[in-house]
Amino acid sequence: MFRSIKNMVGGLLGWTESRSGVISFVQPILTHRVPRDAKWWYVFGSASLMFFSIQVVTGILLATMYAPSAAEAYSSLQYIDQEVPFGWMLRALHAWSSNAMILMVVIHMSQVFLHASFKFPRELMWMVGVLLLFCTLALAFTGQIMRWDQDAYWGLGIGAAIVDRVPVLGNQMRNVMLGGPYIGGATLSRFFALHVFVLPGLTIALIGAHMALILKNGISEMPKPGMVVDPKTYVEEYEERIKKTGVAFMPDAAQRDMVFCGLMLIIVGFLAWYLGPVGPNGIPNPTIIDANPRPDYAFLWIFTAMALMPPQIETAVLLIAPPIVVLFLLGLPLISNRGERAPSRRPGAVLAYVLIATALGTLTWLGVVSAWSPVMDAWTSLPTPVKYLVGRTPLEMQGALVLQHSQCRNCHSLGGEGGLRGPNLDNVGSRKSWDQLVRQVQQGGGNMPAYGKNLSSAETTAVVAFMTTLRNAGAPESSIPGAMERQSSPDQAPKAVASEAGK
Amino acid sequence: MSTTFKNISALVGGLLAAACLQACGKISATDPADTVVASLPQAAMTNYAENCSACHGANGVNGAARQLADANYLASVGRDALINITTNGVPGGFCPGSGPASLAHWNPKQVAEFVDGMLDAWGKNGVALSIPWSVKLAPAGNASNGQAVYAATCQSCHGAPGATVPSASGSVTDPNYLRLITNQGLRSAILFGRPERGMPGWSGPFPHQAADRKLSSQEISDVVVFLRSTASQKQ
Ligand code: HEC
Ligand code: HEC
Ligand code: HEC
Repeated sequence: MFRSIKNMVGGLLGWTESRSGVISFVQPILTHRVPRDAKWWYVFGSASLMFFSIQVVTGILLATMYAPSAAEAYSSLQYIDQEVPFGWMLRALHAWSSNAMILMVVIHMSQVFLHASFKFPRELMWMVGVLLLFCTLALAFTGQIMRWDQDAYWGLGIGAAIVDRVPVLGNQMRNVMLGGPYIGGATLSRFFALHVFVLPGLTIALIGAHMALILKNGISEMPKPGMVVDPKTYVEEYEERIKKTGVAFMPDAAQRDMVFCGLMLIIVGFLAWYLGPVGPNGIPNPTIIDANPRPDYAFLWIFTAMALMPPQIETAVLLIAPPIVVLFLLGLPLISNRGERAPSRRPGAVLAYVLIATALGTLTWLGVVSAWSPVMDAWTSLPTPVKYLVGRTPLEMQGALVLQHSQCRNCHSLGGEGGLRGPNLDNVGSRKSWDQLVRQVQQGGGNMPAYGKNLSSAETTAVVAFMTTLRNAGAPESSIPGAMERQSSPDQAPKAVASEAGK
Repeated sequence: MSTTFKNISALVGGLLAAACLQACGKISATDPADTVVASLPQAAMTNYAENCSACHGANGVNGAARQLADANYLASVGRDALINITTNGVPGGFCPGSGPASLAHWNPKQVAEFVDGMLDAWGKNGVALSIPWSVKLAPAGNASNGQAVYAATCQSCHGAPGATVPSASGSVTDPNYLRLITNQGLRSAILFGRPERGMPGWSGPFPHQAADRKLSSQEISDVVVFLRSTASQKQ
């Protein structure tokens, strides 16, 4: 009895093997030898892979219920949360396991960097890994847009503003990204396609390459001071040592992977159950009160850096820094692919790592406590400074009211009081012309939401008229492509009215 | 999670700020709570500072919106109307009151307490007007009569509609301005003026009012209709 089952299974396997070669494909994966000292340091890569698999499964389930249209996205998420049995858990798992995946990828990369495992012959593995990091972040960013709530609007606003600053092509690139000049329905379709087709496909392909390279080059050993990587002799020595002291991946190393992944799974499952799904946090509308939109954790540091940077250098930093970071990460193993691997012999690298990690950590922490975040009650509790109301026309007074009522003051201070997210507006009339002010209010820019149609043309005119009066005593109005417009509308009624009224 | 963080940081910030104030012995003069403290009962004071002072001014005067610390005004509007506005804000205007658009969300009891506190502090000895404050009770207006009244009483300060030189007190016929203010806002401005800004009131026996100038309820309605007509002609 027992024997015949065994025969049957054996026969089935043989049949499959002879037609697909699957066993000779899997076997080397399971039996390839890994260094004995690999231990717990090496579980993070596997955990990243596990979380990615969870993302694929939960993602496919979510995609069957999610409506990727601007009109329905928000309500379909609420439907999943409230109507679908365990729909909320699905969303929560997808969200928290995405955070966990980013964390695992970052830890994995840190370990590889600190142990200099990227040195010969594993340069390509590192480069593919860097691309995987970007894919992971891109998936997280596009995923956050799927919520189509205020946070999504915010993330996009910042993204679009960064793209917008590219010289010459910026405007077109922004239009390509958003599917038009503003964030709208076309934007969501675009990001949906990226999030469920393009990026996962790319990620899977890259993961395949990453694994193939692992099998080809083997896993690096724990670095020992004095054990130097020399491309001429390394491969031979490594093979030698592995043959002598290595262990088979299955079951020795795999055991540890499984224990760790299981533990992580329990933690993430608990977080998902305990904290629930992330968002959706209110329909995007910059004039909605009580909104404190912020991007997801992985991007919080960018948001903080943007908020803290002096505006003059923002453009330069935004355009120059990303290419440098990308080139540095990709090029790292080419710059240094030989020599010592032990952290104790690479103080420079360790120092650089600590500095970067501290900077990112601090920026993220600041983003969480956000000292400069909007002062949510400024618009009803901080009086417009009296000196800014003296001698203003009735229209300009209404502009001062728009500035309060539209909660501009939650982000902008006047007379030293108000939010600090945007620049203070005490002197804005000398910095910006009428046209520039109108553009800033309607189209936003920097980290400011576009008010667009949320303000009527009368409200826009009034608030801009008020802002042009905010300048140092005696300072001229900012030089003025829009001077003609300023003449015609704010202070006087147009000519047509004069002739009508005169008869 | 982040609210906890925020609370903690607010606490720490508050302690630091308090320590600094102690040390430097000075208090920021523009803090609304401090400037209002003298004149309103405690609870109403905080409520006013947090929810109304931004537009109606610290201490109820010198804001961008009309001053509320005006005894004759409060007496003329009356407790019921004040409760109504405080509850719902001004529909079509920028006033959120304590309604759903505001951060206050007061219940009826809180609103009543607030209004009574305000009347207590700012409304003592106010004289109610003999003519109605509310546009709902005002007679229907006539634009061409209003035009005559405007030319005789307002033009000297506000200029002719459509004038090309800026007038002394700024245009009130600017179509954008008129799209932002309600008829009640216009009527209140003409009835009581904006004394703190040099706009006389036209209906009281007010101290700041020129004795020979007084407009009837009808004339005020006429002017309001006339002002509206200048804007609608544009559209
Ligand atoms: C959520 C926060 C936020 C709100 C609300 C907001 N702004 Fe801004 N605003 C900003 C930020 C951030 C900047 C800086 C943009 C940049 O770096 O280009 C800015 C820039 C500006 C500028 C240009 C200032 C300069 O010196 O270059 C003006 C003018 C302005 N805002 C007006 C307004 C008005 C009017 C409103 C209300 C209708 C408003 N803002 C509401 C965040 C905000
Ligand atoms: C002595 C000059 C003077 C006269 C006469 C005058 N006003 Fe005014 N008016 C002012 C001043 C000063 C202001 C304040 C300007 C401001 O608030 O921006 C003002 C403001 C206003 C406002 C704006 C109130 C607000 O809160 O937005 C209106 C409306 C107005 N006046 C209508 C009239 C009408 C109608 C008349 C004629 C019945 C008139 N004014 C006569 C000086 C005058
Ligand atoms: C965002 C600015 C803003 C805030 C905050 C605000 N108001 Fe107002 N309020 C206005 C404006 C503007 C008007 C005139 C509206 C109109 O008629 O166009 C007004 C009108 C009023 C009026 C009627 C004035 C009239 O026309 O006779 C009352 C009463 C009033 N507000 C009370 C309050 C109270 C009480 C609070 C606090 C709970 C408050 N407001 C908060 C802007 C504000």
